Amino acid sequence: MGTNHRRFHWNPSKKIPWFVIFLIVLIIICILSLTLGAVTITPVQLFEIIKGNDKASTVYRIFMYVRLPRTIAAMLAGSALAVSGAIIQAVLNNALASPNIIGINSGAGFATMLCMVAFPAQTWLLPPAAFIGAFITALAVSIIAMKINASKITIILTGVAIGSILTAGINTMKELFPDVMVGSSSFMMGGLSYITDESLKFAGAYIIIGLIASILFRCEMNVLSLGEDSAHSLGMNVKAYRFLLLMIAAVLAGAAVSFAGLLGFVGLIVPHGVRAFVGEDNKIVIPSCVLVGAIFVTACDLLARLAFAPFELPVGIVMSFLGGPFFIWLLLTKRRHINA
Amino acid sequence: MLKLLHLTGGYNGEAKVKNISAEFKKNEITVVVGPNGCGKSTLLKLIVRLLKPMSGNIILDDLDISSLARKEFAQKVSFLPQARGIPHMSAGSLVLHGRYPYLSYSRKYSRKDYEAVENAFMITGTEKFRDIPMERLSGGERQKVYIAMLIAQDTDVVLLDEPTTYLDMNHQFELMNLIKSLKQQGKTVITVLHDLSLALQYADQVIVVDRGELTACGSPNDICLSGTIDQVFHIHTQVISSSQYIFSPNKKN
Repeated sequence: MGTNHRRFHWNPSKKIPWFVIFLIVLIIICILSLTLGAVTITPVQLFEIIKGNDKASTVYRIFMYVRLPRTIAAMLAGSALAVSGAIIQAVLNNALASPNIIGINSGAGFATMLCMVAFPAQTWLLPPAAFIGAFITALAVSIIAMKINASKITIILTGVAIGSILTAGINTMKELFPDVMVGSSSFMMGGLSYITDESLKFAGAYIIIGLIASILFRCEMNVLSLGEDSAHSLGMNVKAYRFLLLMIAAVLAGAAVSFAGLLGFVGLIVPHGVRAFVGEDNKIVIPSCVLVGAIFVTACDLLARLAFAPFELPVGIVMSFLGGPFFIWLLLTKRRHINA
Repeated sequence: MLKLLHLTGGYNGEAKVKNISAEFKKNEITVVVGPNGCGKSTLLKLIVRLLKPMSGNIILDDLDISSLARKEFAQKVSFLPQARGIPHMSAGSLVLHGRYPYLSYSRKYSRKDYEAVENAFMITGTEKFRDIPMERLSGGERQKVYIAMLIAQDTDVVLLDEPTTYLDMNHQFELMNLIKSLKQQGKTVITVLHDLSLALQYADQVIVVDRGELTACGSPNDICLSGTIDQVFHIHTQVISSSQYIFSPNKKN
């Protein structure tokens, strides 16, 4: 006994290098997203741009000021919301939970809108405001859930109730301040056409920090999934980690919502989709969600730009059209992974 | 040696366990019995620090357990709670979780951790479930995997809350024999059992709790002969021989 470490490959899915596959797909999608659109950038031009030649050309400017920010935005939003969803599912021990369903996105959206109304020109304020909105919502839902010792379904119902209050708030502001809400329908559906360097810079920093933190604490998510009492008796400070992880999830969802609007579906379907392929171990699920979330949103955004070019759909619409059937397919074929 | 000194505790300021003092010895199984809602589970929760005592002390090897750090405590006392969802993981990674209290921040399992897990598999005979997701195992198999996790956690004191509930009779015996092997490894075992005949058959010491108070403590035979069981459960107990009992309804009912 003792020297057989190599036998401890318990996750059968480990045999397929999913992580590498996800990475390759992400790179391909990225290149497509950078080059395709109303103006097509050829591989030669792309190479020239990367080399830094030809800075005056239109193509260069399209690339630097439109394509690149937008692709980065799609990737960041996708990773952030997917990981946020995976964390919330682990913390609440609830497969039905995700940032949009338990109202965290609405909380972030409400705070973002409020901020846009009160401080119209302060872009840097949006991510922290969205985070605070997301976090207060997450905290409210989990405190109510703990107070009434809620079942899994009750947690969801609580989130739905809080979410609908906040959505009503968002709609009220939309009615009262129609001029501030440029592109508010794109905000409600989730869209990436109003990305600016500045909005991305601040939110991006929050997202990168959130993603790193979630990768650092992925082990703890596994322990939490054993249930509160077991996690406690293994020496974990359950309350502290729950709080911390919920905060990370709120940072991620809040930052994403602050520039991409209410992109709902990613947080629910990407974690489930990932689990269907790589298994349940959060050590693998979390990094995979970073990649697959980015793939999913970037691909949907690409389609949103191309489907009716030169007109654009909000990415949220494409996401629901693509994600819905995919999720149903998952439910039908790999239901074991999704049982709540 | 684990000692409870005038332990009182409960939820929301209401004491469910009242002034209980008791001793639990190494190499012994102590079974806690009592009617539904008597405070058995609360007692276990107090001992594993899931609840803070309202008053009284819990002393483990001359140390008050409230002075121990979380992980330090988890290296000394393990607990199998009663109500659990089925975690989405393989039996193997569940058992490996038993080593969590021993991990440093890098979260890398050492050779010693893997050895402890192998040992736990061997003792419980669950090696074959290693790659199987927990949700695909039967109730009895799952429970054995949980016991393997406790063995991997390698603590001197092991607490279990109704480990045999919902199991078929043969699995109940199998599980109790596993628990017996824990005691033979020199551990202090404390378990709540609902099934009186199982409790009396496997216990070295029986603690009877009724309405939060300790009403009797002693060997299974003494407890039965004293009539405490009859009073507390409103039944009639006949002792056939040591570790053989017949329970019948109280004649007054």
